[in-house]
Amino acid sequence: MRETQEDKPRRAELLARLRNEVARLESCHAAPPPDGLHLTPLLDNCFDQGALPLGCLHEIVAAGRDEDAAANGFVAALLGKLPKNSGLVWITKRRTVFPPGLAMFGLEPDRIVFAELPKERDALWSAEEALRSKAVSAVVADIANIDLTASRRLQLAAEHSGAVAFLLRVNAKSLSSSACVSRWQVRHAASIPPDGLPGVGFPRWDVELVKVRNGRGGRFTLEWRGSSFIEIDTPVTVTTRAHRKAGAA
Amino acid sequence: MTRRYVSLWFPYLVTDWFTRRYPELANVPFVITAQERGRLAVTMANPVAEAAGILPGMALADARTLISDIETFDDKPGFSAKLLCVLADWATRYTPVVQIDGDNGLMLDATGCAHLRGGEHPYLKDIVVRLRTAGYQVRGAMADTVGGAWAVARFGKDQPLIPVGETQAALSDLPPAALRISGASVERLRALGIRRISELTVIPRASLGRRFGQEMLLRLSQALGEIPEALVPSRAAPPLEERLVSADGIATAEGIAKALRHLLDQLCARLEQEGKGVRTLRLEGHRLDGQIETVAIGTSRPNRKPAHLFKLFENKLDKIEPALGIELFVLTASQGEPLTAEQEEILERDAADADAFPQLLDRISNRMGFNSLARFLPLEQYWPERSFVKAKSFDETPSAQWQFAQLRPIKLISPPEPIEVTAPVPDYPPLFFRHRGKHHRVKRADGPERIERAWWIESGEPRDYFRVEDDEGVRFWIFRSGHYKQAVPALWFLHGVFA
Repeated sequence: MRETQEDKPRRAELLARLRNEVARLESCHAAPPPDGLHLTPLLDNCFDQGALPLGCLHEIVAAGRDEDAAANGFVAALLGKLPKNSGLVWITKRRTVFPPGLAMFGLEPDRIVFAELPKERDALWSAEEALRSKAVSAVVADIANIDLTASRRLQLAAEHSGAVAFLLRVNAKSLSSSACVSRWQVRHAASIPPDGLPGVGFPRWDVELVKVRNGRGGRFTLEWRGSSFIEIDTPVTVTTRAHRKAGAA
Repeated sequence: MTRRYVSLWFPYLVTDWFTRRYPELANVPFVITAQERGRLAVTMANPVAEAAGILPGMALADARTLISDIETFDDKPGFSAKLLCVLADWATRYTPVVQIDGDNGLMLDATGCAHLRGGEHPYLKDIVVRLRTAGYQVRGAMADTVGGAWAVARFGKDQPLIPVGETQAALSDLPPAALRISGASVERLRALGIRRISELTVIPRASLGRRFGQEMLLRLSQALGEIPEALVPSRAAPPLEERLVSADGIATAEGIAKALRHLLDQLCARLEQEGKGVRTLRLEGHRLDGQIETVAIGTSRPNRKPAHLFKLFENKLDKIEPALGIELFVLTASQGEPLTAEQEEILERDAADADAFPQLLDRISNRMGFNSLARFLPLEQYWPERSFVKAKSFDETPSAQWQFAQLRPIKLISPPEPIEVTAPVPDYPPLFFRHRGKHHRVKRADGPERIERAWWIESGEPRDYFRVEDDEGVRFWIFRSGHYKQAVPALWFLHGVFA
């Protein structure tokens, strides 16, 4: 059939409608997914929606024994970027996070409810329960070892309510497949104070985006300067491990 | 309203318990013994032993002359009191006010309770029959006064149920010992030839008081109902309580859930009228076999929404073991708190929203334990360990400010761990340090930041904190304890790791 001039806008409209339909079918969002979290221009580009998506599960992996604090700090910085009107739940085996240390990431530590749950089963139950609640905007779960089923449950709960889940994985035995939307490997990076000043500079991380659903990975050096992330360099390498799906941009 | 009391007397309380526990003892004579002035004395004998002439107070050696192979058990102090407590709890299914009466009796305030069991006669019969079925020999009586019920239970010959207004007539034939007076007074009355209470009531009160003292007058007046006598409940009856009786016993999970819903609706309707909310609730299931099953919940702020409270109970209902069935549910709120207008508003707003934050926290803390959740508030203290405090409630607002400008680590190592350092220059950060066997070469450093102890709380050395970054980019918070001294090597500690 030959395409006429009139058909063109109609076709575009149809395509847009179908795309929306497919997006709706792909997830079980009860409501349209919330806007993503804008971090830095290059980092935002890694995600197909142009920002770190909320309403899903992200894994933050501490890339080594000493990188526990780096991963925790990176999560705190991400929490600091979230809207400030709803609850935050932080689930740990044993709380070692120092509440006053969270303040430098623009986060009022008293907004966070810490749950100390030594058993992984309890932590998973509480994380899911918290994610299902509409009053919670983010859940941090310090769970080193998680299987596909458990991570799928968390992902579904997050999709259902639109809350974001950050799975902190420190000393994980194996990083087997999980249902997370993105996996980040975080390690400390040497800080360089601005203008050649002596002393220790701003918090700086070497962040590797190992896996992104419908996006591409990358490695960045990020610095937390006051209230936002700053990119230090262009990506060092583009990893080949990035998960690509057919049809993804 | 005429008050009505039920007195229960267990003449063989402890021996009955042993027979219940060891059924093979049913027809065997046995006694309970205790050390008394250097000899073993019988404190209680079971009916079989009593029939052979063994009485409490007798020496065990004398009892052995009557029955040579008599079984004996040690008397545990406080055992009968413990048994009575259990029985008193059991009896709360008949009335909320149950008093432990001496060492072998219970006193129930049955005022306004009998109609629930279809009248006074079935009420009293039900109590006595059930206790007897359970293996306790019991005598029960019901009368207008505490003293009257007590007397009829122990000394009554025919009718145990004394109708309203006939207590005096019922007492007249009983011996004076039925008046709860001391043994000495009983002996003296016997010496005077007074064998019945009716002979006592005709004596003018003034002369009675002169001869036998105030106790006699008080007991007589109490028994006759001239002076009111209050009971002290064995368990303080909480003001917020709802009960649900089921004749056949509920044994299914759905039945228990339905009963709980019903009770919660009733309790919450009452709380709404009184403008109160509750923070802890307890559900008791009284089982047909006499056991009591209990589950409890708590909330972070006063609440009176049946749906939310039910949700908190939901996870715990499977802990209730109904066995043959539960015949009575009692829902008690141990703390009723008046709600402020503001709290009511929050409660009404959140009620529509089962997802609200406090509801979520209640669900988690009821399942995981009330100490598993914590919120932290800032304190106006520089000493790191004292710079924050656990909030007492989830609503508490900070009274101090968080120090956004302070550079503090994200992870605190507590207590601080000692490190070995090489610091050639006084008052400068170290060039190397070793922590848990790992060498760290310091590339960058900031400091010192001196933090003094709060002298009004504790004494000790101040700390000089440094932020150092090692060659791998990890940033540490280390300190030197105390001032730098030339002769003494300084003590260094690792206290945290920065992001």
